[in-house]
Amino acid sequence: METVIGIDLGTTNSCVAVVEAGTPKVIPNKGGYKTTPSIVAVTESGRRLVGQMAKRQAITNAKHTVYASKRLIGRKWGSSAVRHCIETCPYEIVPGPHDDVRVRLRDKEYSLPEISSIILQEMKLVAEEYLEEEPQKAVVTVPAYFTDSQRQATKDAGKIAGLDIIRIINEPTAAALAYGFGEDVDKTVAIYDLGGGTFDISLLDIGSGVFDVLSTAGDTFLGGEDFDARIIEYLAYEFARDHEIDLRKDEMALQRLRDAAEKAKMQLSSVEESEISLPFLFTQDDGEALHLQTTLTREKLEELVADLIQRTIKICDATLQEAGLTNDDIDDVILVGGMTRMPRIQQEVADFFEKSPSKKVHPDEVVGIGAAIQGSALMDEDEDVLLLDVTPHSLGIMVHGGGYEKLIEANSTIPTAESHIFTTVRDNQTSVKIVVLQGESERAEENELLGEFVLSGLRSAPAGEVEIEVEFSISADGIVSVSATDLETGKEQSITVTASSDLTDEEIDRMIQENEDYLMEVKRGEEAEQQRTKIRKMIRNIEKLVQRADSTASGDPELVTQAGERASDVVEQAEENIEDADIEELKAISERLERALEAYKGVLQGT
Amino acid sequence: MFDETATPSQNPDVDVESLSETPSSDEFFLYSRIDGQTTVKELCTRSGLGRDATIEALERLADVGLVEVPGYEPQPSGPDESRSQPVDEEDSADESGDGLDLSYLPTPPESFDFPEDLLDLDVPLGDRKRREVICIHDHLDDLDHFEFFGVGRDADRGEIKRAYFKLSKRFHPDKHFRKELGPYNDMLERIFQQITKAHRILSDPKRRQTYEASLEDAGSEETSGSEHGAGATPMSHDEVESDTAGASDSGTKKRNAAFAQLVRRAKSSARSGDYEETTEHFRKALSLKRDADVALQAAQLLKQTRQHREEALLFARAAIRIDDDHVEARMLLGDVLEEMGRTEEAMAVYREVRQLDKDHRAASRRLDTLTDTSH
Repeated sequence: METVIGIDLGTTNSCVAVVEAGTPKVIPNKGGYKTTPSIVAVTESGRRLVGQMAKRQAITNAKHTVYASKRLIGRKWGSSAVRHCIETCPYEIVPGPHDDVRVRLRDKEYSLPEISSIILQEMKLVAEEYLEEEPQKAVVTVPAYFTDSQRQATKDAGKIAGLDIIRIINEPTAAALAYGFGEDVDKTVAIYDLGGGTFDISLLDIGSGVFDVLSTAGDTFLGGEDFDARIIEYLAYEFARDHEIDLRKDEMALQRLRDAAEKAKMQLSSVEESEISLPFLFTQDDGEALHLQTTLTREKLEELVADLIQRTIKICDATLQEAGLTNDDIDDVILVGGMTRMPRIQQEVADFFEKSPSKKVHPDEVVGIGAAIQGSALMDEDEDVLLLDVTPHSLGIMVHGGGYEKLIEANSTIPTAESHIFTTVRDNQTSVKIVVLQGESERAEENELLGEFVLSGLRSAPAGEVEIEVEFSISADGIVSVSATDLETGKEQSITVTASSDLTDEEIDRMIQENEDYLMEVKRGEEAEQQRTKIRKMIRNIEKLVQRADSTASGDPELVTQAGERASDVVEQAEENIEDADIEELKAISERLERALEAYKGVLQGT
Repeated sequence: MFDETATPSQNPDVDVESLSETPSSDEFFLYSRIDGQTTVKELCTRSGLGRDATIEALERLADVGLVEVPGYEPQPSGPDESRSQPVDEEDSADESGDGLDLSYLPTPPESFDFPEDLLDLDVPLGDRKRREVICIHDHLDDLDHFEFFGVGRDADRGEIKRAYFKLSKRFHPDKHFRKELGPYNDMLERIFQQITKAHRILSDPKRRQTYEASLEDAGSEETSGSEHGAGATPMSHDEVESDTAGASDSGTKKRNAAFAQLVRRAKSSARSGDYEETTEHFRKALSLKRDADVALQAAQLLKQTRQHREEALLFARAAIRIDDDHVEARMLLGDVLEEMGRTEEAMAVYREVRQLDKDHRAASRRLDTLTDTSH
């Protein structure tokens, strides 16, 4: 059976897992780490860096290092989320051609799916090295509260990376799969997932291998990054108070602050106080260097982020109510995401649900593992796992007067279909425009537009007389289709809402091509570097032989000298060209050197 | 241990494909040498495997049930029953669960008349699963949610949940992920949608209450006249309304099921060319429910063969009797009459069509043509 990898494409870190012989396993990267930073950078020479390598150079290359790109994927240029990122991110965010968002790194603008594809490719590579074959299929997780266009953009990322994303599943759901897999669990559980960029809460019924999502909600702009931002603000404020200097205007200082804030936040999960020491953080015009030296206590941190934690608890409360459940109905609470290591969060969650959270799963690895389990369940009919997932947002159409009529309610189990009969609103109206929307607001304009189409050729009649049936369906893959039928004539118009991605097919094809070209270039570059190393080694060998020729040669001295000169000529030529030569020329140089070396050796030995 | 003079024979009831462990090539070779006449001793010398290996292989073959050796008691190596039991020719992958007990359905699989063409379709789906899907799908419109879940009206939350999980596990489209199953894909999707719909109502106390009330009203109207019927709750809920419409009592329900089944049988007979059967089934079906469209379908099918024009004529007339305004049935009737050379009658029929729809182009065209030729 074909292997499907599970990828947790996180805001801060990503993780890849696979189910082998019925056992899920996280695959460590080359460095031995089970998670890889979701960071992409482009160096001055145009080389792409991913993961730990990208993170390491972030301070010196802040402008061309993209982190937390997941906060931007599938977003519109004008959205508040994007505006927030433009203010806080050191990398350059520019508008794309479809009201979407691009990131400028060096001389190229990258779409967000391209950035994500680079991370996916890295995770694919991690898996490939372990599996010893190239994985083709993957299940990728997204925050439960991601919209259709965010999901679609994630699928596009897979395409660009050469991965067939067979299913997108929600992160908390994946966590639940990992929690209940391989055991006879019969429980109602709450998954509290606070990651780097997003917060999700999901409630599930688990029993006899079925994972039934009851309700899910969240905030796609609330996560560890916001906690860091609070610390950065605090430190920058203190510094400004002492020195009247805004550190956030200095890219390098800001990047150092960011690292220090993240580090302090993590430390404060296990200790009460953390020393923050950033020497030579800022150089004043008069040349005097300023340092930042301070202590952050756990108490202070908790004060800084109290409202953020409260926001998550409020969402938990609303979700419980939505599902018609109370604390008592929840048998177990599962914590997911690095932020849930914070003692205050554990405490607040325990207080709210009135029970201690489960320690059964690893908050960083559980989502990737769940994705791998779903992959295996889809490919293997014998796998005793079935996920009953829901659509997180309501779906409907715009009705007369800018209103919004829901056809499919949020938290409906998919696949599902619903239909409703609408009538014309004007006399002699011969066409209707079906505007497909996603969201919860009663006002059409406040919901997300998924697509639109027109049903024309209606009979000219008084208002309200012509009936049109609109049917919505969501497949198990989460693909939305909408059709409208004129009930008088049976005429039908329909759309499949997959075109809501911000990229056109041509753009995706071009990006796939560019990505392949880049990879090919990298490969050729590596090959060239290998050739150069080989050439340098031969050059050293020849030079050594020439130096020692007098003492070691057993052949005719005159011939030896002549041969030595000839070999040196070849060496000289090689040294001249080695840097600029392309791979073919390098191969030729290498061959010439080889022949020269062999010939010279022969003369030295007098054969 | 074997009696060396015993003569092993192959057991035709056991299908090699159905075994959980495929025999090794040595065992297969030995299996091929077993003809019911060769003794154990002879097999040992002829197999080329040596005596010990032959006996060992023979033991395994006997234990899995592929071979019967007189005087030898097979020792199944595990609780796996498929080893010794003949199984249908199905993909074992489909049969991960134990399948469902559908005996509670009005027409359970045992007495269900399955359309052969669906059972024979070349798709990766086991025979048992096919029968379940066809049978359940056919019942979708006839069962209330409790009946569909196979639970009583008093079922508690836990029972509903268990039934929901059991049915979902069997019929969720993901169980056949990316498999091309022809008409079965749609059937599975519809079944699953009905499962979630039923669950949505039964798991929500408020919705369930409204639903139960609507079921009771419908039931009491039928059995005890106006006792409760007069005060029937207005059915405010869309779902409830559509669910109960047209399937209010179990008598109607059963009749509808039988009707649908007869129509299916009739069509399936027509496909296999048995028009006597086709006529018979359609006739029975129409005696249960007077449905003009079905009568028309019968006429259309029968018209295809010369020998059954008479019957086609009768069904077309039946359709018109049921629905006097049925233009399509009249056009077909006219067509059949023309084929039989009864031009005058055909023209009369076309005129009737024009009376119903004065702009009916096809009828006018036929009339013009027939008028021309008759002059």
